Amino acid sequence: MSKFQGLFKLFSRHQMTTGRLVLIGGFAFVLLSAALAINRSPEDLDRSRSALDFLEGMGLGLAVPIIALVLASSTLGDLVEDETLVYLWHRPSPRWMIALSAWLSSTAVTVPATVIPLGLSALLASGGSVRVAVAVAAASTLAAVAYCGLFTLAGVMVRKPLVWGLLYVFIWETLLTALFGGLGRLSIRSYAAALSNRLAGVGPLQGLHSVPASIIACLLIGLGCVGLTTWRLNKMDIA
Amino acid sequence: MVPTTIPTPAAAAPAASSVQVGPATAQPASSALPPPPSQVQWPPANATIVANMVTRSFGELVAVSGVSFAVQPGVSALLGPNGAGKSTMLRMLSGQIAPTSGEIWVAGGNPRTDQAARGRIGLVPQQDGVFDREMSLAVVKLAAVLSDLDEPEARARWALNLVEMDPDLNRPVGTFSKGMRQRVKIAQALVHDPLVFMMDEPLNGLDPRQRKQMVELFQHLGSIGKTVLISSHVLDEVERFGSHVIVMAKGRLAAQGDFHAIRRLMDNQPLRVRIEATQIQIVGAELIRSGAVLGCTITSHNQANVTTSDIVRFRRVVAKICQQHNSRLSELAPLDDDLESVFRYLTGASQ
Repeated sequence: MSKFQGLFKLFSRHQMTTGRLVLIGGFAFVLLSAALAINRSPEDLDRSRSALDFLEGMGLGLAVPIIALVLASSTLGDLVEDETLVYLWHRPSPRWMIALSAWLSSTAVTVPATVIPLGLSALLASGGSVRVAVAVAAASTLAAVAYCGLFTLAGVMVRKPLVWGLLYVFIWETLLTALFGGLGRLSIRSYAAALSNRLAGVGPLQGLHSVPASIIACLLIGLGCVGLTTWRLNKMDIA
Repeated sequence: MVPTTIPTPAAAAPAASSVQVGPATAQPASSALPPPPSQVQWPPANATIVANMVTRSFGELVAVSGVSFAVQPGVSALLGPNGAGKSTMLRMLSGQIAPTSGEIWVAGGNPRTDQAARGRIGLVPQQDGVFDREMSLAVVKLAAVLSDLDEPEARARWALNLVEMDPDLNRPVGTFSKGMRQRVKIAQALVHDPLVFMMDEPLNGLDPRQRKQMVELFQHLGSIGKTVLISSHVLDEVERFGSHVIVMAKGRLAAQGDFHAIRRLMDNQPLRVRIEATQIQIVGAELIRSGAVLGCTITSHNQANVTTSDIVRFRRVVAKICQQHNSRLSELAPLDDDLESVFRYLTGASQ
């Protein structure tokens, strides 16, 4: 077992608590129920558009950031809270490896926890459109990559990262970007939504980020946050 | 074992001596001693832990102020009352927090920034938690993996056996008693056979038999050339570790060295002596009348504790008084030649 594997396994196991599994299951249940309702709605509805609109709000706007927040902020945040980070920090391992393995492990748990229910919901709500389902799945994967980076960083930057993360999701990603259109370009949700719309080919597409820009932006946010987490691990007081 | 060299800090260092004593309000701590021989090197060539004029502030609060000391292989105890700054000092020595000013060298480097130096330290931190959802073997094995050890599982089993823990215990650490968790913490510190051990209250939660076993283990580590620095407030246990102490009070170094030697330097402090003799009330009263003692407490039908500031005169007078009153003197025992007395004196100003 390499150092990276050891850290990855520890972080992955650590995230899997009963409460978190219930939260993930709850979101899946709500998404699939709502998708079923859309599926049974009148025939003249543009199902692809309806599916994307619904999943952009409930899925990319709520389920993905909240699940990513709960999982990613705990990977290092819980270790800071219970003062066990010292057992990893004090070993002769590079800090970037701790940050990278924390980010990847939270992403590895968040992606299936969000992609499967969102993809199935998209398939159900769109009346069986594989293209829409793939587009939503790709967008939620990308959003999970970025959100996990951000919330892993929050775990070592602030006390009560859950509270700060919720404020970020509801105030920045939802409220301010809705009130001020220009701010929308600075939200993770806007990149994920642009990707889902462009891959699904459902208009209007004017003014949306391009596919490469969305992918690069989310990857850069994820990797940038790993860099900042590494910096923070080097600078912070431990226990 | 990785060879270790300690760079000499460039800044001013306190004078070397086998014993340094100073009041808790003054630095450097050698002020109460005659100047040391100029040929003595500071830090000592074989020092594995060196703190040089280390200060740490938390906002307005100065937790540690201008502390300098060096620790050589063997077992040493870091002592001090609550709030003395010893936990902050230990956290700085292990690299967990950076000093506001000053220099720290441990096992050949700065543990805050030097990954290799950190690899030569075994740390038992103060907090209870140890990845509560993991099995003890997984915790210690991860420590071995992160220390680049070959055969990490075998090393983890070895370390757990050393602290009398069953490596195959199929229960998560979170269900362990405090003593069991403590032993897992010690095992993870031992697993990579480090040069320097830093342990914050390592005997907490252990039963008397386990405490005895751990004390023997620490003594053994010291005897084979490891540096074992133990922070503890249980003085009778510290006394069993060995006699080298570093005493902190009010964030400053109060004393460092052999505590018996420190006590001997406290000539201006009253000494307490237990007397065992027949007719103890008469002997006590005559001692008071003679002025050879400052106080006398009769503790039983044939025992009394007296306080004296002139031990030589006291010995002469007590013999004469016993002879004059046909009292049979059976014991004169100093009560202050223990660590608690040294500690009480050194930290008295901060109580």
